[in-house]
Amino acid sequence: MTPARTDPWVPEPISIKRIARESADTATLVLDTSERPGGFAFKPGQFNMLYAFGIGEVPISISGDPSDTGELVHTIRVVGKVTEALTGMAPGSTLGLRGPFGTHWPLEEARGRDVLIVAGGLGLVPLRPAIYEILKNRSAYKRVNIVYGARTPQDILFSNEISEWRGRLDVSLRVTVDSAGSDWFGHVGVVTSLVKLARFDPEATVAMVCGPEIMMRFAVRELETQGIADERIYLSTERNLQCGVGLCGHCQHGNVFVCKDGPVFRYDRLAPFFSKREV
Amino acid sequence: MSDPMVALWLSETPCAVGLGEKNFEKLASCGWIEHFQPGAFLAREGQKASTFFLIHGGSVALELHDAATGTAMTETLGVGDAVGVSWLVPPHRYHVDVRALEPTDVLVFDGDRLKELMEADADFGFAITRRLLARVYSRLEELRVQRLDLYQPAEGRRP
Ligand SMILES: Cc1cc2nc3c(=O)[nH]c(=O)nc-3n(C[C@H](O)[C@H](O)[C@H](O)COP(=O)(O)OP(=O)(O)OC[C@H]3O[C@@H](n4cnc5c(N)ncnc54)[C@H](O)[C@@H]3O)c2cc1C
Repeated sequence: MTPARTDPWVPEPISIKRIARESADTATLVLDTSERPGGFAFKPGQFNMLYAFGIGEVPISISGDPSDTGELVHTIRVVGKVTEALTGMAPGSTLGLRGPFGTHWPLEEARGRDVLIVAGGLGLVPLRPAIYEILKNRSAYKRVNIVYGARTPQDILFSNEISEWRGRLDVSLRVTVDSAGSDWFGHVGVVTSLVKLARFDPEATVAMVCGPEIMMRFAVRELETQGIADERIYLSTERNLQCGVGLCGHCQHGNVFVCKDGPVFRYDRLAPFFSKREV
Repeated sequence: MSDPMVALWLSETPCAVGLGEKNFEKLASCGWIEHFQPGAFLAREGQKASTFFLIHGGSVALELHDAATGTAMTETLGVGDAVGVSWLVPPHRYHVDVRALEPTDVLVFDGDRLKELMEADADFGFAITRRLLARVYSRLEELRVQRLDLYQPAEGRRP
């Protein structure tokens, strides 16, 4: 058995078990962690640094089920050379792994409360492990609302699971797209318009939000309008980062570092920097 | 005197909040109830716009049709939403098709009658205009975000 690495700077070789295409530019990589002692434990919201050997290393959130430690799941959208290399790899090939890094979603704090999950685009990726965890311990939470916005119906991630979750009687899940043809029977409009339709007790709700920064700013405004206090709004920000351990400064938001203080932040802590262009 | 069913449905919409009894009664007196089957059009692009709608049940899509690319759904609206401001703004023609997505119950308001009442009573006119403006403003905010195409990777986005 290969011992688990402890040096956060040294990538550990890990092999790709399978790859699934999610949409035109996004793929899910399932990595084999069954040989690692204890598998691969992580908390929902955390990320890994994935290294395509000879090309580069990028931060990628963990998108799989935290209770399945024998597999490590990452969902990656191609935007540049490293993400292209990672999603172009074949099953059986090896990549480098460092992690898990970062803070996690406040699932403990949300116990006994209503939960409102607001995801936009690829923002569903780091929220999916939290959804698995909440659904596995469903009775620990009160009302569970999930709202998800995608660009078009073809861009909806994890569509089989979304249909499954939507079929549950103990979850309210709404999906919207920015534009669609007339063969779409769902909602068209921004994700914040779905927040208005969700039923929750604003005094006892924990909101978890992830998506592009502008979408998160609008979502926060809507959550505040609905009466959710800033201390119970959590965001995951994906400011570009490099070292993963708070040294290089690439991911700085004012005096916080996304890599070591985040990526999941309580909104009141991020608010002073969040809509400033200079930080 | 307004139809009691119209008054009941109207009282359940966000539009009625804080309207006051007199103004509520005036608005209700201009309305009636209609039901639309899935696929039926509440309004067609280019048609004279003499009514507006408040959705009581169901949902509608705002659509633009292009012969080359087909029909694009730009927005869907549901319970409590107001549909249409063209009755108030020249040239008083609908700018989109409004199609029911499911069995949909709406309050329909006579825009010509409403305009007369609004012109005759500034307090009523302001109350209605303010409500429409709030709705138009929130739609404008949403559309601003929508047009940014935020879910595209940064490089593929519209400026
Ligand atoms: C904590 C964290 C978690 C992340 N999780 C995921 C994930 O689960 N799945 C996923 O696909 N991506 C995720 N990302 C984004 C991912 O790290 C970047 O897309 C990747 O680093 C791009 O590398 P590249 O070499 O392919 O592209 P590059 O050549 O580095 O960049 C290509 C283009 O994308 C832009 N870009 C790069 N990184 C980002 C970013 N973070 N935000 C906005 N624009 C960016 C660049 O400015 C450039 O325009 C995450 C980022 C962070 C910080």
